[in-house]
Amino acid sequence: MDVEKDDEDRRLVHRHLSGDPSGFEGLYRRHRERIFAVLVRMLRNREDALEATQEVFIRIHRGLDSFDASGRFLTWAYRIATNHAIDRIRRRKVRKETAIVEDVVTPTSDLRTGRSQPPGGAERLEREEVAAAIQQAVDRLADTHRIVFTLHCYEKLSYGEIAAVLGIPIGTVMSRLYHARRKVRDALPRDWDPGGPRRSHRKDEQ
Amino acid sequence: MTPLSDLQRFQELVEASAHRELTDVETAFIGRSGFRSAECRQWLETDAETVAAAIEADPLGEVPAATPLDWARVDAGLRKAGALADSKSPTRTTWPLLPAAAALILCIGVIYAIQRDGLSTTLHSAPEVIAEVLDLPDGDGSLILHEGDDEGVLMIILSNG
Repeated sequence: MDVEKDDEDRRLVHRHLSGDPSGFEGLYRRHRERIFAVLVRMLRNREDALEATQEVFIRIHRGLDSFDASGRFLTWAYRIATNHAIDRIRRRKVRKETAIVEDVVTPTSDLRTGRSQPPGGAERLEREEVAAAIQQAVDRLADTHRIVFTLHCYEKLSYGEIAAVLGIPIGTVMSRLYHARRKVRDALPRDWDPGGPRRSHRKDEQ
Repeated sequence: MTPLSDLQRFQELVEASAHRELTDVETAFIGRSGFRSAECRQWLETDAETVAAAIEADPLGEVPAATPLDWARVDAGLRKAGALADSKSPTRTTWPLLPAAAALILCIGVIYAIQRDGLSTTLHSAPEVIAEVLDLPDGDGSLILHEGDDEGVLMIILSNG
């Protein structure tokens, strides 16, 4: 998130508010990939995320009149996307949909192509094992924890930015992120070492 | 309160937040200490490095871009909702160009006529410049500019039909 991009966003918002349809279109083209990515991570389902992206941008279009131009467009857009993701997750639960991770690929397949990767060496197996552990752990996180975890660990938002997006105190962001991280760490293979070859003990067990 | 007791309280409250709703004061304490105290921050981010390294192995770390076909579907939905302009209909920005072009051509015609004949008060020798914007059916808008005097007629026709 940098200042120049924010200024361009403000120009596009202004253009939209002046009645020029290229304003909204510009915002959509600039941010659709990012919003789509965050929705994939929150919803853990690509098809769902695509549909949600469309709905989020419709909400953005309808709400642009009320956007406070002194704020950041992307923070505002993240807020809309996050609230929409929460709504969808709740609706899923009501409908008792079974698998949240439906078409998100398995850890042994390539997310880009969906094709299985050929078996590789020990390093690849370890990587797949870690990927599987993370996916399961993230899926099992409480919705509120997963959203904070996604915004921080994947979208690289700071504590303050997450607080602004979600409209919650920074202290709440910190505690949720702490618990989410710990659960993900606990789900990792016991002998996995981020810095090198497998060890027999984790750092905290030494 | 010593820094150590701050850290202890910080740890206690963060751990407690997993089991109960914290008060506003307690939440504010976590936020404040998490920023001000290096010890608290360090403890808060104990797992950050390990998790960040593990995330690099997660396929969701890199979400594949949606395909052009995917975006075409989203675009269609946005057009239907009125958020995006319909690509089949002329955009609003196209038509305002026509009057501007007409005015420009008119000016050029007048300047050309003045340069050729000079300024004169006699009406009979004044060049005649006529611009017509025809209100033709949608998609067939035309602009015809013709300039005439005794020596002949210059006619420019612009059409997007």
